[in-house]
Amino acid sequence: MSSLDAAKYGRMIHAKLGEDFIQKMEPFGISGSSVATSLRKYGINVDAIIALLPDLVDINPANKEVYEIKPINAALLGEVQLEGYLQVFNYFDPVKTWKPGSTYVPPLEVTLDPLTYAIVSPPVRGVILYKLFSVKDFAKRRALNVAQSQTADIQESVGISTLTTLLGF
Amino acid sequence: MTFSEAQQEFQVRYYLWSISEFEKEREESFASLRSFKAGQPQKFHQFVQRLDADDQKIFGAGRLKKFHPNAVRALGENYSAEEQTLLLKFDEFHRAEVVSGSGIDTKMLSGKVKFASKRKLRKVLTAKFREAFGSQCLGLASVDEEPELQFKMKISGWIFDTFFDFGRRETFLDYHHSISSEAAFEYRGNQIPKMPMCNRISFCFWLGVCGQTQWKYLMDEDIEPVCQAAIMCCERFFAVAPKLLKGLEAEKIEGPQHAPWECQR
Repeated sequence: MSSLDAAKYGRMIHAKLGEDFIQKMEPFGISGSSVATSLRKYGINVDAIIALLPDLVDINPANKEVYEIKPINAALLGEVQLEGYLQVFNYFDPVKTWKPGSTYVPPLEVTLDPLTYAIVSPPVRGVILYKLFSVKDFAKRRALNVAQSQTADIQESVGISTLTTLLGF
Repeated sequence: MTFSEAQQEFQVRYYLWSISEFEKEREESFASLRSFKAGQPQKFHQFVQRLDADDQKIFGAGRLKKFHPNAVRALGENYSAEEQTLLLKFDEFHRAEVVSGSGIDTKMLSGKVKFASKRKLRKVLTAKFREAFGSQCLGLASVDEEPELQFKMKISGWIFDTFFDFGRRETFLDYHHSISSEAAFEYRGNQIPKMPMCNRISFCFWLGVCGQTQWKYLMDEDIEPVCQAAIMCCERFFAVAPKLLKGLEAEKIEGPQHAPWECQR
């Protein structure tokens, strides 16, 4: 999968999980808002510009959870980013208690287009990981494997017949 | 009257007004929801179109209870079995869309679409807001200098803040109001109101559509109609606000003695 495709599917998975999150955590789920906007929606009118953009925020006073969505190879980056967001949330909120998300359960599988889907993990320390699977890529790899095995097969047959000729059988 | 009594009274009035607003929308075939071309409002619209008039009323009653739980508790109301069934059906409808991938606007997320300029959106919205409510706004002169778009008004002695957000990647328009007391505690350079009356008031919230009112994936041609729709939503709430706050004027309310973060939100 090209990096352009990965970015496009990344945007799609963010959009899909964002909608799912808002629905499941309603009326407290927020997606696509900055830390400042999320805090304002929670009830803290922050004057500072905070251009930090967490993926999912649950402003339910009983939860106060933040989530980051990342591809499977960026788990560590997700944790580091999330930690930064939490520090800002807890800095501006006198009550503190903002924490990595664990309440939201994302769907295990999300279809992105007829040939692409993502497997999504439940949040681990607030980070939701996903892995993309492309039927196109799978078919390409499979075709390559078939071609390689057929080539090997031909080479083996050619090798055997050459050997047979050389040995004079 | 104590602040918590006033807050409960306001929440009950807001809930009852929301019921009448939902009924109005239903009678107009949820025409206002057509201004949203993606996201929850669009799904909500698709779902209610499948229901007959009676089920729309039942579904609406269930959704409003979900979005106004404090008022529902204060009034001693409960979900009926029919409401619960329709709420579950809506959840299933939504889940099927997420898992199947239908409803994803592939074109919008392809990275090739040119979305509306956030600067232009802000400019148009600011002009329309000024035109509609400028005479009631406080500190209007400094609005353009602030990086975040926020308007302040005073209604029935309460401060009404209206916040607008324009998105990060794809351009969207998100808005909400908050109502709080002028008196505030200072915490780390920010003013935390002594009496936070109500927060996250917006069109989609009061109708039980979804928690945030957000017009997504805006292109240049959407700017005018979406700004107009947002102004109309604001107008609806500003028009009813004095009625919702009648008798609950800020100066009549006894505020909490301690900082708000020391009591339960």
